[in-house]
Amino acid sequence: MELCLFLGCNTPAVRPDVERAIRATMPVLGIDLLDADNYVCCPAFGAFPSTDDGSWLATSGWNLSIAEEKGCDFMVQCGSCYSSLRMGREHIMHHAEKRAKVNELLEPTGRQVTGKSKVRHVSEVLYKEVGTETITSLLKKSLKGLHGIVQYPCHTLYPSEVVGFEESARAPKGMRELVEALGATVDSYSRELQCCGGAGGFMKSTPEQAIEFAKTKFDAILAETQADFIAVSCITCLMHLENVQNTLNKRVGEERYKIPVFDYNQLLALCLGFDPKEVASICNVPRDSVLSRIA
Amino acid sequence: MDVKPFEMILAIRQWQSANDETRVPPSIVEIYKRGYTQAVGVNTELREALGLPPLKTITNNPEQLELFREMLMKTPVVSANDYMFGG
Repeated sequence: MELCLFLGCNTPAVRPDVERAIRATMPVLGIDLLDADNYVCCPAFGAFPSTDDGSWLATSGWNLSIAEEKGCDFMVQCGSCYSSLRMGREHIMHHAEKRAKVNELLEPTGRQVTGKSKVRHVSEVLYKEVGTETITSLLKKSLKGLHGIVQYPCHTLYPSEVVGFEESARAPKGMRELVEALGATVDSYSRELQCCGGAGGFMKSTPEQAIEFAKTKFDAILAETQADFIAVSCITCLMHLENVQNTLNKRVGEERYKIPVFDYNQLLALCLGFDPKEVASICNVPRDSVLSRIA
Repeated sequence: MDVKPFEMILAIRQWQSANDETRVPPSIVEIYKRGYTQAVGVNTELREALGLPPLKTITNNPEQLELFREMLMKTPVVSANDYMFGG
């Protein structure tokens, strides 16, 4: 199966080890990745979608036309990119007037968009296309003995009628089963479905509240689980859940919050035997406590 | 009524942006100028060290970048605030 890899802005620029993990693991699972040459920002919800539909959908259309030219669907890791592209496609597909306007804007660029290429999240591809049994059967190493918790990307849950792929957005199970497929025990806790707090509008406009919000999540993790690591599948969750732990530690004056955070494909890559220096080397919360136990 | 909360919030943000230029997100200028909110593809040494291929970005493709800018210049927010996007 071929999918067009949409990298977004943060992953290739700030955390390219996540990109390396995705590029390393997906072909092993039978998913060949094609590059989206000359793609642009998805656009992020805090950018063009917050100004007008014209600029938002023209930018979405630019990106979607790249996948359409390749004749395949997009695969996305960043939750925000996934949701923005998916909603953009929804507007383009179901509103003839908007589609005509987008194609009028795209025409001088030599592009056009129909909406025929879908937008898929990497966790959905792994869960539904590849399957947990196949993943387990290919592992060279395991997370056995380690406890983890999962962070579902909000943008893959809501609005569920547009972005959802779980049977129930209120009781998702994909990420949990994917991590369990690697051999780890996944602990439940009361704030499992709470947003990481790193969403752009929240963190930029009211950072104090966003940090306190994240603290409630981490305090629940520490009180209710034995988590050795946090597994995410969104670049914003990854960066924020690391950074906010360091912020919280400075506030409380001790190293209380120090749970390593991994993108799921990084854990998968480690269990498939890839070099941690290539697939999981960039972090703001040390990962040695987990890396040393993957056997 | 079939109003979705997510779309309602976006509509409010679009209204703010259309009626108050101080509400125009600065990130759109970055996207206009280089295609991305981050410096994508310029970390070549790090990418090489991780075993990653060079990225064919729009930042490094002047012809495509110009076409992208010309397209955006025809959209409401960019044409109404074109002074932000010069230079």
